[in-house]
Amino acid sequence: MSIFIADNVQSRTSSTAPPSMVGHITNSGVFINRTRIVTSAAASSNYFNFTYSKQGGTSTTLVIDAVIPAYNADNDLAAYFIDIDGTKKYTGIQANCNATNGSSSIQILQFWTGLASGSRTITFGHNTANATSNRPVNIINPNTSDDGRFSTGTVILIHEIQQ
Amino acid sequence: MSTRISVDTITQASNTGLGPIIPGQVLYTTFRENATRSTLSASTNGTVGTTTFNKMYGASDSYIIIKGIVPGANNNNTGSFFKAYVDGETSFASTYGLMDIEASQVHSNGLAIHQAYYGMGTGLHTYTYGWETRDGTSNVPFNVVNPNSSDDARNQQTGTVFIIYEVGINNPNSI
Repeated sequence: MSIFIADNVQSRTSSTAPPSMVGHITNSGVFINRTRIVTSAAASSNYFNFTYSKQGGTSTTLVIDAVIPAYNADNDLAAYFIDIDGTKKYTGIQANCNATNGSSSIQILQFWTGLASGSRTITFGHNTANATSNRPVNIINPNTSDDGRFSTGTVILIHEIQQ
Repeated sequence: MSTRISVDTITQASNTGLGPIIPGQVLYTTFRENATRSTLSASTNGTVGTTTFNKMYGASDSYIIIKGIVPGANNNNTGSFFKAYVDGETSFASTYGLMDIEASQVHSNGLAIHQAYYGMGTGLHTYTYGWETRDGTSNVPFNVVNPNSSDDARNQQTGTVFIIYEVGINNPNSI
């Protein structure tokens, strides 16, 4: 036995979703970056950015869930941020912050409401609150040039959830 | 064009206005954020924070995934003595899925949470996250929650974030 589900229940339009989709993931994206990045010690620095095509307009919330390998944390401090179209949210916790010449990692979990549909530019970086030059980590996505054993990459999951 | 889906894998939710219960899919999501700095005191056990969420489907229809990060700072007693539970310690207790991220400095350290809870009915539930030492010694996982520039002038105001997913299940007995 089977049931029939009409198209207008199971499909999503570009700007709205049927009421039955509230709380559901309506679109997803994966961003992978395996390029080694030497960070800047400037008070504010962008590490990398990418674009995500948001589908659901302001009626969806964007969740960003990421793990970012790092190296040589050097015991400095500057808050990590996720910037979307010029607005920063400070997020992220870092393992092994004293790892001079050692492995570290950054974990990100953040959500955004009120973003319009279309191409959204998402940037990851650091920014100190008092404008002093600093950097929490020297290398993002370390590779064999840092340690012959290394092969790393950043993975960022993006979920768009209907409100 | 249309698609036929077997009733073995999809059932209609009893709650009016909600979508069908599709096994493996996220059925509902709750977002929680708190960016207020607070301090903790050493004890054999304590609460770092609480939050609430509404479960929309029944115990046999869905389970809960809780993902979170809790920034913390300023303690040398890093250790895996976190605990968390839903609706009181005897209801859906779990000490697993909680990872201490070296809160020994003023950096953006803290607690990473990745948990699952089963058998929970519909309605409002309270999630509590804190610590308890196994040997009864007085301790604290970190002294400051959501550290900011008062801990170190370079620090921005950090915040705790929870994303709570409700996911459909087909056969709860298989879990």
